[in-house]
Amino acid sequence: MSESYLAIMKREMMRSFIWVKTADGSIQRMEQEIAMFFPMICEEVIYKGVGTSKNHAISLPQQVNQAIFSLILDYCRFHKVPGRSNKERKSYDQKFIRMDSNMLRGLASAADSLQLKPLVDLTCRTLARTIEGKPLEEIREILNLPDDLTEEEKLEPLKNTMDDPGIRLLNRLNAKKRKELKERERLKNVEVEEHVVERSLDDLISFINGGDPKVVKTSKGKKKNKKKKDKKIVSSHGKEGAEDFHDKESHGLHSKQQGVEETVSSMRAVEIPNLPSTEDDIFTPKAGSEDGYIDDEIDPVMKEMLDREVEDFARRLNSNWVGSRGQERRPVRFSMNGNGTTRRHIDLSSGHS
Amino acid sequence: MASSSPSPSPSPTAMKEGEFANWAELPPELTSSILHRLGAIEVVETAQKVCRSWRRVCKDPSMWRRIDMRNLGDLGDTYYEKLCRHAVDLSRGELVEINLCHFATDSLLSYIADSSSNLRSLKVAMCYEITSEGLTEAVSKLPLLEDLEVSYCSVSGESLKAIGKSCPNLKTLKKNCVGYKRPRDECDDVALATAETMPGLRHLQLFGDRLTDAGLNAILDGCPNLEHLDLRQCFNLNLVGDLEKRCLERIKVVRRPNDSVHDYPFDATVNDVSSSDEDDLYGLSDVDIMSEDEFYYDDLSDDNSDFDPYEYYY
Repeated sequence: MSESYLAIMKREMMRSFIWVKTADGSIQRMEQEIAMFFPMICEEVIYKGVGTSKNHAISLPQQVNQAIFSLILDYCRFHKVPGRSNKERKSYDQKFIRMDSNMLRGLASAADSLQLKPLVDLTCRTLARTIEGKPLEEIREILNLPDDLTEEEKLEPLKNTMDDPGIRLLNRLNAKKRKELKERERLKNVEVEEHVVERSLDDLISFINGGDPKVVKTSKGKKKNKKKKDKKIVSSHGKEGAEDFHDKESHGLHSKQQGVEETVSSMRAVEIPNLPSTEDDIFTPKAGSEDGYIDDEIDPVMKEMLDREVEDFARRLNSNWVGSRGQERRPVRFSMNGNGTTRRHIDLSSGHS
Repeated sequence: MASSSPSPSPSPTAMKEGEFANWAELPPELTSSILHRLGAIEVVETAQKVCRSWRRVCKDPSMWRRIDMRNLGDLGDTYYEKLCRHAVDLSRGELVEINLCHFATDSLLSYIADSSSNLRSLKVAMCYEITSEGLTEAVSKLPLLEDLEVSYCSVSGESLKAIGKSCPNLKTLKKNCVGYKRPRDECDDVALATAETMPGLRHLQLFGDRLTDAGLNAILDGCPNLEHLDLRQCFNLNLVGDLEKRCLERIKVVRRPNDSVHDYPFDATVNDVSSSDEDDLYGLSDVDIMSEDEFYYDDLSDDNSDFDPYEYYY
């Protein structure tokens, strides 16, 4: 009996409609239960007594024309049904927002004028995703926006690191260091036929290569997509240190053309005093090199700061390497070719060059 | 309204005319809402350079009331710190909420605190440069703070006490760290600090904390308004009997030490030192190392030729 009662009530409710007039003059009606989603419509009905008949239709805001109103109705009709799972709703939303950006913008505007918060959120989120990661020109094209800024205004970047003496200094330091290292490499090749670099560097490289193949760093484009994945953040300090370090290496390996050479070179350049002696041959800069890259313009305070940063990093690194040493034991050999590039071969047995 | 000129029909072909007008007609709050979702970096580097109206929106303090710099790329700590300061400047003191991962330092916190005394929510995670002293100092300038997160950062019990005293309105505290199963290292510093100085607390998350039953009791005594208590991976607790009853009767939501971590936003790998694999000191072998690669690359960039990937070394 209660079922038929409910059925009757439903029919009754369905029968009461609220009449509205869209911005382009079209008279529409919506079920009362849907109308209840819209605060402004409720207000009009309750306080002004309009909307209950065709002749007294509530005027909708100017952003709401007939087509958009129809879309909004569809949206509300779907979501008002209580039994739906979140998955269903999400799936509907994904399909719903498939329209061009201008339509989407219009819809956002309309939803905003009707104070329909869930739809505002959905449309804004989607519009943001349309813009995300795109270059300026493309954004202007897709959304049909004018290019009306002055040149000066366009060049208002943060990345213009020329302003910051600290960053400028670092860049110069780096450039100088690398030049220095290249020099040294070239000089060394004149003296030495082959040079084998072992141990910790090998561990590192094998970590990169012998370890999880997914460790390879991907391009920027891919990274942007990854941002959208569910976030799970590595928590342990030690872990982060390891990944930091070996990922720095993989950067060196994959992004630079001289990849491996650069990796080896830069590793040599770094002074990491706390590491055990076996690694000294890699990390301690060669004699004379220090004079090479002392820049007259570096003030000692800055240099101290940089040294401290390096030490700190080394400490983190060191503490982590104790843990990860067990991971890979296959030694990887680096050999220098005559022309200053390096060859890397994985050596499955210990001991020969 | 009845005689208003018809707005363009929303079919793609008919949209060409009056295009610019349509975007300009968008209320600035809406444009702001859309652009804000791009995140601080993209707003500064891209969005504000698209066109005049967007620039206006991007420079407006309302865009910078909430700053979220968590999901970062690999452009380097220096850059992020600089951008963060810029963002804080743009907020013109209206900053209400800020969320930072990895790159924050004591001096940055100080900068934020100096210019944003109205801050209600401060969240920092995995910022290894932050010290207890730095945090205490900064928070002492934020009397209106209601929400504080300091996960995976080094913060002492003393510091928390000072924070509790500086912020009488504190309602949420999250101090998460890596859960330790063995050895059973016990420490009630955090629990006692909370109990002593944060009576208004409603929401407390101490994932991975080393508190004991005594600490938990102290919290229950000291924080009568608790509604939500997350004690996952607090393996020193023995949540049974009276203690359990005490928790459940007063607090709406209690997450117990061994509860599921599926909805935990950080890596929940337990540090289990006594495991048979001695090499696995940091629980590395079982972890999918690349699942959260977005967060590793603090200072590297392989595609910005101006940027030196080895900057960190120097």
